[in-house]
Amino acid sequence: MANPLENEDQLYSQISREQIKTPAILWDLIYHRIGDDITVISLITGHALRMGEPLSVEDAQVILKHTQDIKEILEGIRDPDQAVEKNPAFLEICRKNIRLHPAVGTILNHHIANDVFSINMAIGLYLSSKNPEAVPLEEAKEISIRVSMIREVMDKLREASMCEGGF
Amino acid sequence: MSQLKLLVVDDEEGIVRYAQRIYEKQGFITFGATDGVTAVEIFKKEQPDISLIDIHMPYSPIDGIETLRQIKEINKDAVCIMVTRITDKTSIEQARKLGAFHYITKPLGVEDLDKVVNEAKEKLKK
Repeated sequence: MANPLENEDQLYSQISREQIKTPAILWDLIYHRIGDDITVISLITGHALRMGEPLSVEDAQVILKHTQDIKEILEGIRDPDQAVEKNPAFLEICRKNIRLHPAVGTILNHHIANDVFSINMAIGLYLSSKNPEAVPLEEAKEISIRVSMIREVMDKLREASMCEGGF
Repeated sequence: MSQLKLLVVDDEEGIVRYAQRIYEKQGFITFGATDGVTAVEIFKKEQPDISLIDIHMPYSPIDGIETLRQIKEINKDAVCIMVTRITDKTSIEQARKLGAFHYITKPLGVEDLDKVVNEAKEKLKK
């Protein structure tokens, strides 16, 4: 799991104290897009762990593709105006000028970006050579843990900054 | 019990592919669809015992709720598990009214899927 930010407790306190709310449309996008990505990664690693088999090169490449998608969504949430040119999912967010509060964005980006980076590193090592190799089971376990952490952060932040009557 | 049939419907192709792989290993005969129209066609032909249907499919001609409605028209006792996101309370309620057996929220892992699929299997035994 990504180490907590130095000021993470203060940021959560700020969210609570200032009653910072995250617009539903942003959580909807996060849960839809990042939710799908980490579901695919979970299914791949879950299968490998269950079967006691390493991740095949093909499966590892699929995981990499989904981590790239997560990065793009995070970047889009940070800068929707730029992202909308490539991704119509950000159209309404731009039109309504909806932005994630910096306190929420800081926690979200820190944890997800770090966990995704760790997944990339775990896999990239085995795929980067001219002869890509299967990813050992221990790495699949690590990826599975990272993915669980991403889910936890999403849920914790959503609960901390949910709108009234929302979700 | 003879080999059970499972239909997986999600516009994210990876979810369909990997969920099918997991349940084939568990002895299911599986079918996959990345849109609601294909799902309904497969349902008519194969009559799966359990259907796992994503509600939010922006790239499908019909969404998961309409897919559920059409499947229930074909077989009102169809066991359908709806997959949605926690932010979508309205669809969860609609699915319930249409007779969905259960719902689960994304992001999900293998254990989450197993739990509802096992509950569905129990229901089929009764």
